[in-house]
Amino acid sequence: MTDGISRRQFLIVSSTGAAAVTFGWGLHRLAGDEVSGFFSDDERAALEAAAERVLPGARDAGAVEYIERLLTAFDGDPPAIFAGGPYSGRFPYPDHGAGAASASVPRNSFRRFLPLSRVREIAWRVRLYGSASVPGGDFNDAALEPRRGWRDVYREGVLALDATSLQRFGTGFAALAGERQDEMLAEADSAFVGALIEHTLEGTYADPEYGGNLDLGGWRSSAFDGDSQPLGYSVFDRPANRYRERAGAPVSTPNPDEGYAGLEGAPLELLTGIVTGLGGRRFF
Amino acid sequence: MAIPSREPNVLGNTALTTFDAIIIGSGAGGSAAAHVLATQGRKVLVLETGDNYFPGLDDPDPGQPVALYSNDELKHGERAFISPDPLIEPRTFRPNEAAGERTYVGDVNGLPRTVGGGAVHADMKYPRFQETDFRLGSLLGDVPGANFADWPLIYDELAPFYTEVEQVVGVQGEEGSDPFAPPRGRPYPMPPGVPMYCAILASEGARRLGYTPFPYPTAVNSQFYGGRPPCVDCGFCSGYGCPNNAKGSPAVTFLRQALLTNNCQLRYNTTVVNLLPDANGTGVVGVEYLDPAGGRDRATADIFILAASAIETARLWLLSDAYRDGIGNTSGQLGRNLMFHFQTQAVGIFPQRLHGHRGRAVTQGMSDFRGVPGDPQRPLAGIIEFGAASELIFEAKTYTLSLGQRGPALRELMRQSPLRDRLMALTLQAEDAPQLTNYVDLDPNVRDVYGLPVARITYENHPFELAAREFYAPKMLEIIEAAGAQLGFVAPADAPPGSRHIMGTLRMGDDPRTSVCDRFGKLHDLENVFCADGGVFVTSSGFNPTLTIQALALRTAGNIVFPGNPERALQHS
Repeated sequence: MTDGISRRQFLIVSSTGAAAVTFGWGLHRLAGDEVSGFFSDDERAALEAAAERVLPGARDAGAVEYIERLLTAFDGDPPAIFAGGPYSGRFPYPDHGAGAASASVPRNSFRRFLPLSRVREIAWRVRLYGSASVPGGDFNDAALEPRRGWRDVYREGVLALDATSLQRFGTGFAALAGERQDEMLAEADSAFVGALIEHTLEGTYADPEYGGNLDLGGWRSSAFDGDSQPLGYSVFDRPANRYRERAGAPVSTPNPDEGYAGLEGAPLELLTGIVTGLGGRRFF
Repeated sequence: MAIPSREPNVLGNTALTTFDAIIIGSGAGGSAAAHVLATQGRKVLVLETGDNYFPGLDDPDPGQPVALYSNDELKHGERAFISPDPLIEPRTFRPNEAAGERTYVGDVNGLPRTVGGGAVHADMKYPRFQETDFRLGSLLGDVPGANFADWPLIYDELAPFYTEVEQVVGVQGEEGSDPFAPPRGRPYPMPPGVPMYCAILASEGARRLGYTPFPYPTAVNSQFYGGRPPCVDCGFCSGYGCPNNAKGSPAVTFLRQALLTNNCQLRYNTTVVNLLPDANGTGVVGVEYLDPAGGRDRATADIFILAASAIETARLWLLSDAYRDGIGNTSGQLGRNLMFHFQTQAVGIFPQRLHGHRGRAVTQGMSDFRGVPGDPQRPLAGIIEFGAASELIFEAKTYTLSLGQRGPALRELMRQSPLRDRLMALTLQAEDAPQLTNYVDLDPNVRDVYGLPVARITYENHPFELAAREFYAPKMLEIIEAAGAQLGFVAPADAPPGSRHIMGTLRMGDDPRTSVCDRFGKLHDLENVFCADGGVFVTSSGFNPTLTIQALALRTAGNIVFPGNPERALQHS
């Protein structure tokens, strides 16, 4: 009636065929994609500790690997900015004759990064290297502020964290207690902390081809199915001329394993406060 | 027989060197116009500022291009894969002139810049306008401070073009399900696809309150149609290019068919920066553009169709040395009457997970709050979309950047997911009163990567739509409650407005003193220049604009080929 496929079953199916090579998502450094490291071991340790204060679990999810891959995006050609498409190879094609998943799995085209147009290359070089360092990148420096590049922001930010930490506490940032780390981050360069927060979240929750979300840990921890093409959630059954939904991941009905736990604890309190502050209501 | 292009940055017939028409912009309107002209034997050059993510779009072999789109939130949502990159192509915003030169620099209503244009990001909601939408000037009477007017055409004149678009792009819908919908010539080509769970809950709630929800007319395949496969409900829909071409996006419908005629050439990463006048000032003879390497070049033709979107078409006019201060704008209206839909969003947070990441973003809606022109008991607003949330990175950034949450609290929010997996959002797309004081001009200081002044948006809401919001917002919250939400609120209105429905700036009309274009989209002041994007809209209506943009573009192009008889260009009506 439905494909009822789970990610685990799917791994087994695909590992029997040539498609197995498409399962590169556990390996964030793929053959031919080697990038020179951007951070020293000490810098990386400090950054991992900082990312962990933003989101517990971010270190294991590979958030800092993601950041390093972003900062060295132009070490590769094409640069690692836009992952390719259309499919990751994590799901098979639909079988429209059977109204279910097929055994045929596309190759992972996410791994092949796309060439940038001339102006997109300027945009991303400015983000990484700063508007003053990129030919054609300073067009708004007179009207607006010159833009610092993330490579400098991170390097200077992480060095300052460790330097201040050593000076005050006689130890590197990574070895500090969590509360102390939070205090240090609260007074750190806001451009650095802002980039760190955004990139930590991106690294945890983006597709793994960007270097983070190792073993899909970010998605698993959030009950998120991730990318699902080309199978998707509804398979059109051509002989029957109707759609069939996947029983384990339905579109039109509640989740089958839904415990109806409901919103609870701190998130419920937080959201209740926000909603009533906006003039809304808690109905029950 | 067409041959797929192997030349970088060019699609279609690369051998063409002389053109009857140049179309600026490959989006909804430009693609539809290109289709009419190319199928009628005209040689067409389409110039697109964005990149192409449909390799093989001009490949005549059976099958469809392999899209470079994907279920990739980082690429689409965070890295502006299809949207203008706000770092190199920003816009500026201010609510009014008293606020100073600008209050914001960045993404302001940025429709995608890519082959296929703004509609590439859309989830392709394709309702028709109502019959009264074309006569609001008469029906509303004088609204102080607003600039309502009748359209220079009525619904019946546009109806066959609506039908043509619906047949070509493939619209799914349920006949007779919307009691407020206008009469239709032909049934929807496809039945509704799978409804989303959140939309079913919202529909049940709305029905209990006496409203009439219906399956949203949507240009997404629910069967095999037009050589394209059915949608698989992957959920990466609104804001995303479609990975399997189930969306009837302009690129894979009108534009692809135009490219396959052998009469059409498309140059992308090619940015038009100046319109060149003829000697006696009655027409345009050519365009200056920046080629993909940044070099300046020219192209000439007999006819020019502006289809870069309401904001960018107005900007191009203002960038053009010959036209900035006079010709084309003897009405004084060019760039003015800028409209969005005034969006009001009622949000519900549910005890159960609604899994809004499965499905086509919006599958049901209702027109009960469109209202009746002139009836104070039923103010004019718009259609309501029953939607949900789907994006994980966006959710995480909302908790951190908007709500200040970090550490274990953030982790727990992501696990329980109140603002994604449990969220329902009803979006009202309300009529936005046209005003002369809402306009596009050139920012005096801020530039784009090409060194050109960017569009500056000066925009403030009129009491007309603010009153409609006050009237309907509590009723929207009632639907949220009836649908079973635990928490509900109405989101504050955003500024600059986030709407991607962009209309006005080159309004149509019969009187050259009060309008920029005539009833067929030709600029009153010039013999050979036409507008085929949302710029020509006289009023905004309360329904998603893309279908109407395309119907008007077909009519404009049809009238170029068959003056006075544009219906002759139709193939399906």
